[in-house]
Amino acid sequence: MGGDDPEQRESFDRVAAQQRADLTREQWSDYQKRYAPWEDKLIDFIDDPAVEQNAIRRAKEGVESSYTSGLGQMQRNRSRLGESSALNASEHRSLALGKTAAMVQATNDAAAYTADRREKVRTSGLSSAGAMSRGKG
Amino acid sequence: MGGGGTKYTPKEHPEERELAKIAKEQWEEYKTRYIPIENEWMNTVSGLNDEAVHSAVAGQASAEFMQAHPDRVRQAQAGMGAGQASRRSNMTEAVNTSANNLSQIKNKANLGITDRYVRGMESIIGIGQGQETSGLQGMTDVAEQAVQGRIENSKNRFKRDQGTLDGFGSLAGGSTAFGLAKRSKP
Repeated sequence: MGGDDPEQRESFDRVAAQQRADLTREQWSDYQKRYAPWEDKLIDFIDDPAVEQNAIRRAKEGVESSYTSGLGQMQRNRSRLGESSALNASEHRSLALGKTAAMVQATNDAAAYTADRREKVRTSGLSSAGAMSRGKG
Repeated sequence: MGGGGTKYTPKEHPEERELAKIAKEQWEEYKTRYIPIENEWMNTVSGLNDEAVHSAVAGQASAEFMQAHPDRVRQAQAGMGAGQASRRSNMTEAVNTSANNLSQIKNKANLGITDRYVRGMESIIGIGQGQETSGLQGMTDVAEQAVQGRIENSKNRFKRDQGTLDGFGSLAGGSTAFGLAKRSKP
């Protein structure tokens, strides 16, 4: 056997292939630089316990401010009627009970909602990233 | 065994070079036209969960609730003709009901703002992967929904256009979906 190797011209253009490879490399670098940090940010955010703590803090602040404002309004109305704006024991008790109930509800809602959101992001928000990393994007 | 494999020699394919050149031109145009918009959108999303936004939405939801639901205020004043004990009881009940509703509305609005931030991050990730994304809700929508979820007959609806915010999200999502479709498949 032997003889000269058969010669065949390539079916693609090396220069064009290199240009396209360079372009893909540049785009991938851009993705890593600008977009990948947002994926990390989202993952960090949903795993961050401070998110739930902040939601609960805001819920409590909302209850506090709502009751402060409601009480102020009630006291102004009384003043307009020429009555004392001071609360009696029964009113104190009623408002304290109402405020506690509102606080419990708001806190529970904030915690449950934050947990739901976390699960939702885990199961859907990052699914497209998984598809891309597996070459299906 | 003698001999070797096939010997390949480079060949110039003008049409492939042209396609590669066009792909490069598209990318250069994309960098000029769309990347600044994307970056601007990223900056916007970065601030969506700031405390100032939470305060603003809580205030907006409160104002809308007060506008939409003045009945409690009237109820508090309804005991005018009744005895003082009855009036005081009505007022306390009204404060409890109103403050409880308002608390839950503010809570819902705050959670909605955080949702909006998460959706903003998801939209950026989607844009990065060349997917079409939709615009985010405006802050007013979040406040309004918080109230609507609590009472149905809201009488005064905030309908301010959140065009700028929605616009950036939609534009960045839609246009880059078009542009980036070429990124992974140039």
